[in-house]
Amino acid sequence: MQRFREHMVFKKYIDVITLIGKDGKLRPLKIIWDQENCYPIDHIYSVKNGTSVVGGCGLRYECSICGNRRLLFYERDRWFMESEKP
Amino acid sequence: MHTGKERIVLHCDINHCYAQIEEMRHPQLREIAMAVGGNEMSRHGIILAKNDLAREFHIRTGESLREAKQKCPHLTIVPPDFPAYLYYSEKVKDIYREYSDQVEDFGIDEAWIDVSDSVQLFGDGMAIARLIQKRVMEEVGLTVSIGVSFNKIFAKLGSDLVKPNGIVRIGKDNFQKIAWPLAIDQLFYVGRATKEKLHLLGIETIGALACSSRLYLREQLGKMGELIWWFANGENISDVALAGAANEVKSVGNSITTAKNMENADDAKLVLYVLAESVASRLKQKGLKGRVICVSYRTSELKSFSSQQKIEQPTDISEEIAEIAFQLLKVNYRFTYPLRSIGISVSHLHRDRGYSQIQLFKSEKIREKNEKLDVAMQQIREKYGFYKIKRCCLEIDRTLTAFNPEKEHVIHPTGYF
Repeated sequence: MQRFREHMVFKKYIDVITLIGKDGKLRPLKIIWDQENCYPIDHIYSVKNGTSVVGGCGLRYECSICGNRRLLFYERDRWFMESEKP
Repeated sequence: MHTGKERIVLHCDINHCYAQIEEMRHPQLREIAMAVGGNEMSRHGIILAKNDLAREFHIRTGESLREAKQKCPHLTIVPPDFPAYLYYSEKVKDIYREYSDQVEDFGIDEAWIDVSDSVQLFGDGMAIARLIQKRVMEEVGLTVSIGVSFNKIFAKLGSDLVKPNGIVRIGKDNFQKIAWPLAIDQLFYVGRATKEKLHLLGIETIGALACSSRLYLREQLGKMGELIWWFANGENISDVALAGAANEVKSVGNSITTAKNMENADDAKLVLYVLAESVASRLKQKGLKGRVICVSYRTSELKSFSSQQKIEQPTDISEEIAEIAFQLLKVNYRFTYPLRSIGISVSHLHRDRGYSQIQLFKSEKIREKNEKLDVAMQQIREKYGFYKIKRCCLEIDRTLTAFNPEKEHVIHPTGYF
């Protein structure tokens, strides 16, 4: 986990339950926070390649998780979020 | 395909590639002087790339970590992560490939793109360059410098002029204005040795080279003299290779900076055996045999030398390669200073057709035996692991010989020809 000083945003790798479609596309369904809490992803607004302010790049999913807009990244072979908490 | 119309070739260069990828992955590194460097403990301690803050301390790529630390004591050294660099540079090249099917890699961080046939879709060369630059920044978070020109040589020259994130167009209308006043060594394929020769001939700029006599240059410098004259005049018609086209292998080689210096010929011989085994195994994998064995070495004073020998029969046998390399070293170097690194390469490659011309006065039995030995060793290594079988002599000094050259080199340098 890395801390990005300026914005106090943290890079947090998380477990994600993902559906791999017939077309090979990834669709994140739920995120598992700290191996305890499971939050469903209500809606995905956009998917595109992009970079993150906390470092790293990959497929950038802008989604709504429990009503909050969040960015979720698929970087090489794992998921991370820009998190306000470490 | 090269037709009559003017070509548009881009050359894209990821600025200080390794350092920038590290900065992208760890943004906090942007705020400090940082360099990517090899492991000082195993003495692969040179600067591979540095960021802009480190550049301010005049840190140069290729210098030792110790020198760099003297210039900038608070310099942060990040160990290289080659798989990551390959991954991200491939991501960047995926973007290039969206604009043309002619994308030719030149090393990990550079590529030529022929966009002559894409202008109807995306706009002229400058527009495509701007588009690529913007997308690489947005999607991979890296800056690229791009040269836009009508041939590969000037495109490369253009990409070297403005860093970071520059775009320079060198067209038929302005190449004399932009390229000709530049120092001669900025031209592709003019290295230190050629530069010195050209200086002796009174040629200091690309323009001076272009305006001198082609035949005179050929007389003085051979074929390369004529070639760089064509380059300087913008007369390079070589095509940009299609994406995915495999480059023909010209030579196979391995080198190593050993964990401690090689004090004498016996030390070097041990290392040569490890390298020769790796080179022979790679030749066999590619189905190639070579006729020129070259041994290169660098002393503890960081002076580099190389010598080579042409042999009668093309070979891929480790014993032969090691033996010739050792003889070359023994004849040409007296160990006035210990050696820091050593390498073997085999060139003048031929496809192994499964048969070869045997020698009338030389026994083939030993060759056959050595060849079988190589194959058996390779099979054992593939099945049980690299370190499961080795020559007895490699046990003499494990500090020198405990490395696997095949696995430890993932990024190979690229040549233009």
